[in-house]
Amino acid sequence: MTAPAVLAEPQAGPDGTAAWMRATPTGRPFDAETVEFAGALSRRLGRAGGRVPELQALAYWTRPGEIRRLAADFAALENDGCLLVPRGTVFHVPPSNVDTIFVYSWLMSALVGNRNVVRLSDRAGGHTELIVGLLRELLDEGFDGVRDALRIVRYGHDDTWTAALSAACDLRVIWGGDSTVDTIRRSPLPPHATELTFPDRFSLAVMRAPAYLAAPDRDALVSRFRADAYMFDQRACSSPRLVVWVGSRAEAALASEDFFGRLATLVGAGGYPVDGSLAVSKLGYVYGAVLDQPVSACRWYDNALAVLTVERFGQPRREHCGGGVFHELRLDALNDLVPHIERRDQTIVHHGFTGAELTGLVRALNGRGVDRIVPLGQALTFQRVWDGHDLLQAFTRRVTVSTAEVLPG
Amino acid sequence: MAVDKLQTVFSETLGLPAEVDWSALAYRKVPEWDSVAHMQLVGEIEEAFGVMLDTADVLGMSSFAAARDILSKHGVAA
Amino acid sequence: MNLLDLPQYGLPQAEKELLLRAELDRLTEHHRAHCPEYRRLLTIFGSARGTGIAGVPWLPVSVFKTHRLLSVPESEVFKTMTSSGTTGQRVSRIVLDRATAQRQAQALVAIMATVLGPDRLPMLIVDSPAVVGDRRQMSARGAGVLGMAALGRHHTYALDTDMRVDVTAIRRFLERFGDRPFLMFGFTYMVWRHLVTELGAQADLSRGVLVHSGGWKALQAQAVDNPTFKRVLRERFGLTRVHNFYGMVEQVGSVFLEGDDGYLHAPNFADVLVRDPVTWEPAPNGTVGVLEVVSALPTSYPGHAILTEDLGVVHDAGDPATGWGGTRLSVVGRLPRVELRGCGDTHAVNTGAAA
Repeated sequence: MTAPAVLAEPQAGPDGTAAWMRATPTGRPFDAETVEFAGALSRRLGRAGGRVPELQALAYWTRPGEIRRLAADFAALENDGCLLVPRGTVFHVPPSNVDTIFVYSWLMSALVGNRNVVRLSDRAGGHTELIVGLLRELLDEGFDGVRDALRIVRYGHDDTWTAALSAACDLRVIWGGDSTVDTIRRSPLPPHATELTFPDRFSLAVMRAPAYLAAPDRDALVSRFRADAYMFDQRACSSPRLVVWVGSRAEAALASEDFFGRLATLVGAGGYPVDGSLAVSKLGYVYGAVLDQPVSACRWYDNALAVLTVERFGQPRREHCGGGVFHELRLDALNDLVPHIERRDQTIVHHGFTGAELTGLVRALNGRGVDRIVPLGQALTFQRVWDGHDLLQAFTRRVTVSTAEVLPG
Repeated sequence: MAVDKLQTVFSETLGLPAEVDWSALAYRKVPEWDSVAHMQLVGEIEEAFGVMLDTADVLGMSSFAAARDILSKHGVAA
Repeated sequence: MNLLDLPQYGLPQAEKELLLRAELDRLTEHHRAHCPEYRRLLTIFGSARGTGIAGVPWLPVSVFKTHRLLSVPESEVFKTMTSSGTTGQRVSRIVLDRATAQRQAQALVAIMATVLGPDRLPMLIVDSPAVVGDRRQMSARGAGVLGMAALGRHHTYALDTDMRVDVTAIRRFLERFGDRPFLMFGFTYMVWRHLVTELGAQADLSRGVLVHSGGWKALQAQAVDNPTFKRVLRERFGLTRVHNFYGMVEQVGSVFLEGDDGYLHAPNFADVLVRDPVTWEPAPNGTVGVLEVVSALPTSYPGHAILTEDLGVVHDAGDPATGWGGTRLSVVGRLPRVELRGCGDTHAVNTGAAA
């Protein structure tokens, strides 16, 4: 057995790593060294990350101000009768081609005091190398406590590793598609352990057509939507693939024409690259969708933007080509969405609704689906509450302390 | 009763059952007569009747009846 | 059909385009009338797209991978062709009725007669008999071998069932037929790997006509291009009559055969154009773009105009007086596949806070 360790004890195979997981002490939540480490990572990422948006976003999220806010949020969850303690060892399985996810997952867990094992895929991308390089640099310069509580291992489809790490962890976190979740779940967890999964999701945008048309700076709105949709080639779980207009037929038609016209211009001006291969797969998707979906019109602006108008909700959640293909639907009222929402639906980016209307939607959905509702431009902003889980809570256990004597009934 | 030579070639090459509706027998209508068997059949017919079928014959031999017509075109009464 | 019966490569390009466009327009109407999916696509994407071959509405080839499109009643389905593909890849399903299958076979004969003459020649197949061994599940390679088999006689396989060169079989074949014209057929990479690198210089193939296809991808790694391929065959075996062709399962029979000038030529009943992968407008001759192939053959499925996933260059049409008229084509290769971020079985979140 070769040890595919990136950041681990030399020659530590699956069993050695598992033994370490059981032996290393946990840390204090938000201890000074880990907090300082986050700040140092943020500075270094800011410098090394260049103009890569996801690296800069990670640098932004790990900056001291953000970590302080997280610490305050954590403190607010606790009181003398209910304390939060580390779960123990957390086994993180991040996706193979979103390079920054493992940092969010691991750092959040490390900040609350857990030991962490991160499994990187052997297919992990170029930014992963950069980030791991930065981590190595930082951990060679100090931060012994952080280094001792982290193991990063890299392996492909190796059940021996997954089985050993799963059997030794207290919490397993799987970020990935449905099939990754299925594969990892074949390795059992200890009876007490819990699991967080972040499987395939679907996201949409909902806008009130007259509100959009009346907005003073529509280009700014469109620019935010562009960030939501295009930053991860429209393939992130939070990237909107469906745009729902709420309003009359005439309002929706006007809003749609204006909105997507501006989007085409903006995306074109930004030089969003669509190579021939992606363009061909988008053509294939669009033609297939016309055959499978209640499509009444297709507007192919250019390779970077196509809009499929659907007359009914249909099945927009099918396999998607990414890269700027949107389904578009009109509804009379926001709550007309309710019967169409499913468990798979994650993020709604919105414009033109009041807080009361949005909470009303959540109440009406009553758990059918949708985990977060955010303004245009924030679809991809990482939050401590993700896919319905408060990660600060999920990475800790609550211990209750009571001094009140129970009086006999 | 004389044994039909062309029927014999078909039966043996394709491995047909004893009872065959010769008037309905056509390429790909029965599982035995597929594209691989077709080329074997062409070879066997050429051998048995001493003819050289051209490409049009090979492509045109889409049924047992067509095979008979093709052979008669080549001057063979089969 | 007119275009099938006329001598191939013999029409002036302008005349051929007029005749072909008329055939293609007839096919557009035929498929519109008989294939509901095709009708729906025309309704959404429009059917009038200007003059010339480029004005015929086209379908991206992937539609045949996601949908089974047919323009004949199910009862008339004669066979279904599938494209080759690695595990997990979707393959095209092309539905043929008897008439279309027959037309495709005749078309292939009409094209190949240009280099083979009218007679069925003794045929050496550069493959293993195993390639047509599984008759229930014929591979695309096996179907290709069988498609060519009608053009030959005395079919002899150059490889044994273990995919090793069968020297005895080749020697017997050459002893019997090697002094007259004979046909050789195989996939390009099979010819190179087995005949060139394994057989060595022990065979006189100077009377042979080699027809080969399948693309150059496998040989690119060894830096073998068409001129190299032909030079080595000439030097080693005296084989000078070598013709590559380009074709696909979605348009069987409509192959583009390499002429004496080294270019691939469109037959009368088919054509090719290059589209700019940004605008999807026809690209000028001499520029690389995505290939669109059109064919007058398919009536059982709406595949008369297909945007491929191949890159190529179209050159000025050949001169019919040389015997090689028709649009001249060079194939560059497959569109490179890129891996998108956050795609498929992965999960993308975060970023954007700073935006």
